[in-house]
Amino acid sequence: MNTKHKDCLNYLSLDVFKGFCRNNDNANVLADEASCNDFKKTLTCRICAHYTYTDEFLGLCKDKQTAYPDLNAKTCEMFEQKENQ
Amino acid sequence: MIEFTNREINKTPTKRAQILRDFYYNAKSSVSMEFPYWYTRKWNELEGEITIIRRAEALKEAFSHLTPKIFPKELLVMGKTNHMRGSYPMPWLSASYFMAASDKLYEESLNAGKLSADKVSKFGTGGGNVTESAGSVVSIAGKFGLRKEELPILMDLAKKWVGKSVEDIGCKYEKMVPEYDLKESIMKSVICMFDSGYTLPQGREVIDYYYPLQYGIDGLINICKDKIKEVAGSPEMDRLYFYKATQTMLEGIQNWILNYAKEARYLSEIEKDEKQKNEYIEIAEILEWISAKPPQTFRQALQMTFTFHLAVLNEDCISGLSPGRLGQVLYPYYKNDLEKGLISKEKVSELLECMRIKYTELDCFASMGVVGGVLSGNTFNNLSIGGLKKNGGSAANELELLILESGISCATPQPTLSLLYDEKLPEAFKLKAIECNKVGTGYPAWMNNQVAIEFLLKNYGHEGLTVEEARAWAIGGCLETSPGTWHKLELDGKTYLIPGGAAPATSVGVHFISLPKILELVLHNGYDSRTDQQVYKAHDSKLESFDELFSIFKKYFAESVKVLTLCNNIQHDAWRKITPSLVNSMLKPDCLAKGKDIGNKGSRYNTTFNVEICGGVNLVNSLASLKKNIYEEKSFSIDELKNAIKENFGYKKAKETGSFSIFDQVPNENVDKWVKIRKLCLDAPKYGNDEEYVDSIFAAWEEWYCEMCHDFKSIYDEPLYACQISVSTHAPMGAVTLATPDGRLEGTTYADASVSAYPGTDKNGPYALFASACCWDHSNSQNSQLNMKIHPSGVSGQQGAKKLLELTKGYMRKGGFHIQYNIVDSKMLKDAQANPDDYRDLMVRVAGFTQYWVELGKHIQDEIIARTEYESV
Repeated sequence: MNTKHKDCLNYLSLDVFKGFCRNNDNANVLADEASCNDFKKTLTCRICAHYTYTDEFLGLCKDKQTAYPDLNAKTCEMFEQKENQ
Repeated sequence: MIEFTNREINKTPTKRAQILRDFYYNAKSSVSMEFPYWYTRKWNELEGEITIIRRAEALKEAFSHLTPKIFPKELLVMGKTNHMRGSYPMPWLSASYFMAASDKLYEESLNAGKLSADKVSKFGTGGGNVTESAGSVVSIAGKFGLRKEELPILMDLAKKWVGKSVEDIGCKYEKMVPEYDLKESIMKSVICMFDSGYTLPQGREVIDYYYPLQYGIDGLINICKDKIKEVAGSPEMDRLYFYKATQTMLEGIQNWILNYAKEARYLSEIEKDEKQKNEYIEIAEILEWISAKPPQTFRQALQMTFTFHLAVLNEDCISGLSPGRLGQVLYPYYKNDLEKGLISKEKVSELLECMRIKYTELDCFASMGVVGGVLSGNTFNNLSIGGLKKNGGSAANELELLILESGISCATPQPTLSLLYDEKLPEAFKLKAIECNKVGTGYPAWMNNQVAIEFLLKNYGHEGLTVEEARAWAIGGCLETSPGTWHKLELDGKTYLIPGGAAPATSVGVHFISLPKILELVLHNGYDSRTDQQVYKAHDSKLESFDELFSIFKKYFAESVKVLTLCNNIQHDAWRKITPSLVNSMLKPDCLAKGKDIGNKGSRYNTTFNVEICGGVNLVNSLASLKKNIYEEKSFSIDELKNAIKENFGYKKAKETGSFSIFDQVPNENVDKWVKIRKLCLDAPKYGNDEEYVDSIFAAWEEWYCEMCHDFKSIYDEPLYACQISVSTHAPMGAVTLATPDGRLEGTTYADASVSAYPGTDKNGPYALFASACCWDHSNSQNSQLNMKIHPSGVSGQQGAKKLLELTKGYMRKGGFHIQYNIVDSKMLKDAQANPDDYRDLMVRVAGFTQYWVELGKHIQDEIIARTEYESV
């Protein structure tokens, strides 16, 4: 599984480099290190059914609006998780 | 190993605050693209809509979509972004930096990936600054870290705003000013530090929290709805759009608060620790309450004020949004809760420590020359204490004592504290402030309440400001005297008078004119050798008398003020048309009543534009040297002096030596050729010694400068006034200025502040310095600024504290407006320069602000080390 801490729902970012893990109270978790077995996917455009890629780090939302895969979708009312994600 | 004396007072915060502060020490300045993404997306969807409505919808969309983040142990929550020290660019204000730096940023992101992730956590110097790219993070301008996967969206958004940003639109129209070429030359030669309208269009003002405290958010929305019904279809149609826009914006803020409440509820459900679980529930309840209703408790009120502080900071690029007299605003809630047994003083103290950390987390993503060169990364959230009530009695209260105590126990740069000194304040209150000074954080600074009131009456009297209203003033930004007003707050069946800010941004208009640089150009017939430009029209004068020289100086200065005022007015006009303020407008009296935003003179007081200067003491010392050496004693000619300046008096340049302090400069092989001239320059009378010769020059300059500012008008059709603070400009401006006739060497920093002596030249003790500083009327200017560095042994013990208070009183009673102290041993600072890893939490006072030593540039570090250190007072 090629997932990182920064993509995990338990991860709370302190800054762009690192953050906390709520699952095990670890206060020094590097964002880009591999996640653990308790990984839970955080909601982002990357796994949204309305998102399509136009580039590695850019895409479209509902074929109209520019979006980007790492945009957090927790507060997005349009979010719909892709199947098999 | 260097031995030094540490500061006397050193307390520790509560365990909770210590944990949160440690999180902060570990956090880096981080960029999030969420807000600009959602803002731009909505803005573009609404092409053709009325601008203020479009703006409101874009703000609502952005606020509603911010990802909430709550850290464990927090009691006061919410932040600008989902990072602790988070900020974001606002390409709707300025996109040019990103367009110009695009290739460099992409290259950085490619190279950064080659460094291992281990290097990520090893930034010793720079504190929270992301000084270099590493791993998946690109460094922007040596301060902000951006995830490289967010670089493409940043560039995409920047491109969408090209030609439409406040900067681009403003630039297009400012070129229509007849003297625009002069303005360009002035900016290139760094005679002026930065543009005004698109860099920091708001700030250096005092916020007003009254309306959400009094009415709650639902109440404010209902006011807007009622007003819409009242004005729809009537003349002054802009009022309809303002109210609709305000309603929309408030709905966005409500969504934002409720998202945080939802997050707190979610966290309470997954939290295993019972105590933390209950804390999350309490946070959720507070947020749910304030999302709709006026606060009823101290904690609710504290959260409400902080939430709206953030909301204003998120709507624009802002530095210097001051909480004002927060202790007096929150006092009714504090008193009420104590009487009802709902809170204890210990709990309040813990909350105040948490508040300090939250304010310290605030970051500002402005243009690079602004953040580094002027602000030193500071955000200037200035909390004022003391002053007078409306009826003229002392306004100091018990909550303010706790605020001082939290500033002692949990020392952080924000909020900085300003004590509005008045003879009526209790002695115990002032001594508590001195205790806080002895921690060494440089706060509270001391401001003269009576001088401020006089200034306000002179400049706002024509707008209806009275003596009673003037007493509501507070400090905006680092040192900007700002008018306020009194509000009747209703709480639990009682009515209280609380103060709030009543004017929009100040320190807008003309940002920092470098006086020594203009003098350099006077000597060189208007020509700047560094940029090879004929900046001013050549005067072709032989400069045969001091009066002639000074007259030309004033002419060049006035031309600079004129063209900068006109150009910045256009930029501010672009700002108010394209990105009108909504959050701050709703808060500021009397925008809601009038139905007009700040940009359309909705505020009660609008005479806020000013002319800032830098390097005044070096100017005055140089004029004294010229007068004495060339025109009276004829020791050398102007041409001989110019040659000496060209040769830097026989010294290597500061950028060669890497030191910007006057004391560390290195002579070259030609030093003997210039030693005589330099000695004569150094020996000429210097400001700060109570010497009539130079003080009379200073007084004449101040009298002329303070008066001439009124000849220029802002976009509000109000006169400008003088503003004299250096912030950090004395470093970058010194860096581009040749040696000066007072003996200062090329590239070294100017004297800091506005009435601080140049390092090493104040030889007759502090009271002589005070006499020099007060040779002019401080109430003619928005401020004056005096830094004093004192060795800890000079103020040790109770006796030392009393002496420091007497010194402060001495200055205030002479008519000085402001004084602030660095209580520090310079040897410690030298050690900190050599071993920054050992000094992560060391703070110093620069000029109007406190900053972490490791986050200051070397120029400023050198300058602070060089400042005269008083061993006794």
